[in-house]
Amino acid sequence: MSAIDQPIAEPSVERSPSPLGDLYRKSKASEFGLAPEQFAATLDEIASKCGVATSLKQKQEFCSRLFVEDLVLARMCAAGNERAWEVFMLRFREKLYDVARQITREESAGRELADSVYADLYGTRTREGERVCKLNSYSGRGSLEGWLRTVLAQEYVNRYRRQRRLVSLDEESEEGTQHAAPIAEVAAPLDWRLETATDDALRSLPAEDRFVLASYFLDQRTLAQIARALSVHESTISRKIEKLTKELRKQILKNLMRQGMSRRQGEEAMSADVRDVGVNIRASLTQDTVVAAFSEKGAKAGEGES
Amino acid sequence: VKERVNPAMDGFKKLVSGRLWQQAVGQHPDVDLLTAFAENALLDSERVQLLQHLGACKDCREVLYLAAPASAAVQTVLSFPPKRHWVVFRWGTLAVSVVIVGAAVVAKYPVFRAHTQSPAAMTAPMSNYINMSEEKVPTEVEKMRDARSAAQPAATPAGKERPQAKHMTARPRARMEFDDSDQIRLSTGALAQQNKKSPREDFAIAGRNIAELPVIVADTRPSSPPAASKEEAKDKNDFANLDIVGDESRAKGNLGGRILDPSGAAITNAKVTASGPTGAKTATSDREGKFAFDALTPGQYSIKAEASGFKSSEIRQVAVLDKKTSTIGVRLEPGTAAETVEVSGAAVSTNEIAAAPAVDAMSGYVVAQKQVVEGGLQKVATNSQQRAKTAAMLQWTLSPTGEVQRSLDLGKTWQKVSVANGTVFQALFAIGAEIWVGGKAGALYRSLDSGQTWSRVLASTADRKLTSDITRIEFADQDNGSVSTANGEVWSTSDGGHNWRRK
Repeated sequence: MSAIDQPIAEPSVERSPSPLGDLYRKSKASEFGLAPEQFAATLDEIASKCGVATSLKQKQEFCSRLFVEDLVLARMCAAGNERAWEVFMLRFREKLYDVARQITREESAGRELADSVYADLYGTRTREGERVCKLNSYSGRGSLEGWLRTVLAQEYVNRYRRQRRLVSLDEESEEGTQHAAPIAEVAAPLDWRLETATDDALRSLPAEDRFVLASYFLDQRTLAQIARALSVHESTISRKIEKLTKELRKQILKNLMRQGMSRRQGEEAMSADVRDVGVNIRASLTQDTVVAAFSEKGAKAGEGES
Repeated sequence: VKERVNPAMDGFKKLVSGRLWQQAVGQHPDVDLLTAFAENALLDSERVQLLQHLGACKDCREVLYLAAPASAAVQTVLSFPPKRHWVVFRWGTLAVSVVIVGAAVVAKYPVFRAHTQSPAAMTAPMSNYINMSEEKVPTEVEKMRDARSAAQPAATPAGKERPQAKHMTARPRARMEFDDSDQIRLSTGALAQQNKKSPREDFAIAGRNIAELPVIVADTRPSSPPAASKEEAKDKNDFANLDIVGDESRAKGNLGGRILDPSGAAITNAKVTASGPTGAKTATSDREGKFAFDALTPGQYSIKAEASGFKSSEIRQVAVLDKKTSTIGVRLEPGTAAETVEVSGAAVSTNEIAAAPAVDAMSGYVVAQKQVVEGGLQKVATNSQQRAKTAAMLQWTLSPTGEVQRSLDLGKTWQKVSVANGTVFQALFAIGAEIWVGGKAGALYRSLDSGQTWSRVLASTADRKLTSDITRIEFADQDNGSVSTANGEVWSTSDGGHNWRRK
């Protein structure tokens, strides 16, 4: 029997004596046998790790924004709770493979990526006799599904870079890959004044604007992708890019004139062919090494928490 | 992962990209922060800090974009109407006022002139009227006609005085003919051809017979029904065979519409150009994105909409019909004005639906956008057809935070759909206009109208209620379906959710 088409009514929520009690109920920690004290200790640990909550009120506010249900699930999985793993598998196993396929755009590579991350999540590796479980590093600041997506994406980027480093020239020849012409590490340098003027203009931009410019100009992301990342509509990004380009051009010109150029000289310098703008490959490689360290960082974090 | 600046970018882009590339990269944020950023869950201070890193770190941007759901379901898409400043409004109002006053003065000018002229002046030189015409009569012909008028002014019977022109409301379409008995006749035969004649042709005809001269007559009728005007003109002037078709507001068609961005927000000050049989006209969209062209010559038009920050859109084969108002919705995609999106076959609606919002962000527009128009004119779909088509085009998804979202533009943008406040949904299933969503603690909701209204479904058997978290909903058709829960239960129905069985 059932009642259908009933008016929507919110279930009555019993008033809790404390915000922590509310969170505890919301997290369903009791279903996995996590005691309130352990739950509170977990929240304390996350709040102090993030360093954003200094007063009690701030801490409460911070904790109220956490995805506590996901957090408890992840922590209980990391602790080896079977019931938690059942729920995790039911909720996320298929999604994990779907997302991996979406990232790699290939069935077998996607499965391989998901399996690898899944092994990390399960904690097949041990360090100093202790199981290292990646789920321990989840702090509940975003959803668990979003976190899994990011972990997959990060793993994919790391693998891609590792593979690129390991593939030998012989292998590339066998695969028919043409060797790229060596890129001059320092290409024809620009007028230093133009470089300085551009750097100054970029530095003066707000962080979000720099992110938009880098995504659009450097990464060649679409307006829709940038808009999604910033949670705004793509028309907003479209307008922003148009405005930013105009203002940046104006600011660079202004900076050039401040350095003693006439307006005409400044405009000429800006319109000069900058085909050989130096792309600092060393800087790129430096990023590679930091990313490798970054992936280790997560493991270390997990290690520290287990 | 790209390692080199795209050579296709112009110099400025390359310059900026090159400098951006060389920015210093600090400590990378952890996965939690990136996730919280992607889900808009960071504190403002953290967000700014992270954006500073993301602006400089290509790798973290790569991870961020790779981790974004393909269906763009993470974010609730916000639409910001363009900011309008009061200063702009004030100047805009002033400009509009000047235009209106100017237009009124121009429109009224012939009336003033007509009223200030004496009856004698009105009856004697026909060239006064000729000067009001768009078609110029050659000077020699004018002289001949003036000579004829001057020779016979006294002979004109008082009762047959020529009518006093009140004002010209439209381009003259009738011909006044003279004959030897001084009777004046107005004829309308082959008007279009006559009006298109060049002055040279008129002159040649005039050379043979002055009665053939095109004489311009002002339309004296008020904006009353045509029959009444005809009778009135006949009574007053005793003109036989009067059949003037000069009232263009009836003889021509109108075209209007709205310019919107993909979120449905109005685009102000978009330039709209209508190119058709008689040339091009331009209009500008107002603060509601509306534009209008009045008194267009019926025919096929091409409508081009341009706005700053958007791709231009050109819609061909828009039909403007006699005495009809065609309405068109134009949705501009973000981009640069140099890019043009061409649409052949216009989504035109005629008077029948013009009263309703011509471009409805929710239900009407998407359907209209996809309808193929033959010959530029489409039949208006009935409401039920529109609903069915809209439902077919809707896409549904759940955000990672458990909100229901739908897309009207094939997954490009997503809108949050309010179902039940605070409920986290984990499963969704859509069959046409019927949508099912399920979530925490057995929360199960259904919509039969593509998400406009929702009702809660309480699934239960005689001894048990569905209270576990719903993780999956599947329906084979509108009656037969099942709901799976986190604790492994499967609840099925064979009557669209009225009765349930538990496995």
